Amino acid sequence: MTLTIEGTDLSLAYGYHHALKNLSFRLSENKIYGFLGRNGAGKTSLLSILASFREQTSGSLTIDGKAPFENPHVMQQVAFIYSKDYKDESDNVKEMLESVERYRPHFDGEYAQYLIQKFNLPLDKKIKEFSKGMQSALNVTIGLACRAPITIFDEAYLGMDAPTREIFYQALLEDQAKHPRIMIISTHLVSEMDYLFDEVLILHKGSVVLQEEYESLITKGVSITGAANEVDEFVQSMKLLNVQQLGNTKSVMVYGELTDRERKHAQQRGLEVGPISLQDLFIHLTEEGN
Amino acid sequence: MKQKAIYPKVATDLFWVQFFWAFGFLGVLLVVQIIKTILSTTKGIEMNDYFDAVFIAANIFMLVIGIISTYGFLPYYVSNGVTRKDYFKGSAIASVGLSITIPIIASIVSVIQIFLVNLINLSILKDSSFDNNAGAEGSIIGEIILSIIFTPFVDLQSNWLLAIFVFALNIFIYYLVGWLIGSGFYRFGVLFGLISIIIAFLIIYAQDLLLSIALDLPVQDMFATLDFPIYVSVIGIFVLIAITLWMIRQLTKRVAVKM
Repeated sequence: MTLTIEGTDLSLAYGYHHALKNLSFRLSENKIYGFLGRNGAGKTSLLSILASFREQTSGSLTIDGKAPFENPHVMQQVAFIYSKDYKDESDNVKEMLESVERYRPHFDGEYAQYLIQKFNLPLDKKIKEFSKGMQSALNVTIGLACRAPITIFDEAYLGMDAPTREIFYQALLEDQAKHPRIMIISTHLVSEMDYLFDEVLILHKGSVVLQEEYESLITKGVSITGAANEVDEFVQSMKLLNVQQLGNTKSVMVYGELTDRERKHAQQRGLEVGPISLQDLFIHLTEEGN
Repeated sequence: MKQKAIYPKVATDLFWVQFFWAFGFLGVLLVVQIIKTILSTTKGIEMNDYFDAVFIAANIFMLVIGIISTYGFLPYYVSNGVTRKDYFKGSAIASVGLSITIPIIASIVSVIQIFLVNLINLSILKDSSFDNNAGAEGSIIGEIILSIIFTPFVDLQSNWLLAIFVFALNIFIYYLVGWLIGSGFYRFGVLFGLISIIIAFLIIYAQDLLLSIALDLPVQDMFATLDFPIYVSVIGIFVLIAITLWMIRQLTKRVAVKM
């Protein structure tokens, strides 16, 4: 089952603050979407509308043509995993999983147990006594085991140490291969997680500034390094993302693909053409003033 | 694809969670009751039976668990893909169930207690009667507060079915106003929350008055001249319940879930 998510002119205002401004996007394939954006870009606002935690102020959001808010069938298809406050949660992992299972039709209890073991979580300790990282591990366990056709991880890794995050990423890729669904991951850890993404959406100041396949996106930018004057001449008509200079050596990141001719040209001038990372692209696309 | 309704599941789960809390609450009161029995026996003081004791304390218990419902359960259910409507229906049904279960348990325990006390021939149990008009004349605030302390009461031994019904109705209303207060705070923050407390007081006061008139119990002086048939009171109480439920639904219908 593949669902289609479509947002059209979506806006959300908190009083005078506009968190989302006429945002439009469309997700229609079972793949892993990376939602990137700076603090306050509107990621969580957008995702919470998707999960029916709140309603948009204007515009429309549909999942398979239906508005998700208060639609029992659609809401059951969406799992929203974020850093929850568990300070009053007196249940243990076992009880928590049992109660989630009652409301999630695709929940796989065995798989949840498998992940709990991988994350090394105690079954009978109260969740409020867990460390932040353990609580996050429990959250992603629930998120993955729900097997909801639309699964959203909103900075779900908070507090996890590096090995735990690695377990999460591996589990996510493995399970996505076996049970493809629309997986949305919002993150700040771009350089660490970029290999997970099939497609990337960059949000900036409440709007989607870019939506593109990861593979084609990273070929969208190149870095050109070489003698300053040669570089300047070469990039004259290109869209510059970033310029760095050290002595006479200049490194410029440009947005846009190079043609074969241009590549040849660069070679002739002794310029080095390299890839740029998603992180670089992200930073420069969302820089202040852009 | 036709999907099975979710609210019966929510109702069942919420009933058991809250029943578990109620069980603890009733247990504590039972321990207190046993201690009081021992003290009364040795010192020869009269005491209320268990039913009366639960009757007095259950209002506050229900008010408190009503207040935490929106804060605790609404986000939980929405994050598990359950609609606000299903949560509302489920929670309302669970609270009716709880309101009936508590007085039934209290009366069963009370009957056993009375049986045991009579068996060993102690006469420590008081005749149940609350003075429903204990002083405080003139001041409306005083009267409202009194109506909260002295809720209309029917003695278990005089008419057990009516006693259980009045008890259930009472704690149900307390649960509802708690739920209203919690929802008011959750939706609009402190200012409206405080207003919802005032509305809650008025609902309790009106319910108290209607029930007192229906049961022929004394009412506050300013309403002493009021007299209408019992069915008017009963209809009035149900209208009051409906209005309260409607307000709760309006507050939670489109509420944003706090993260």
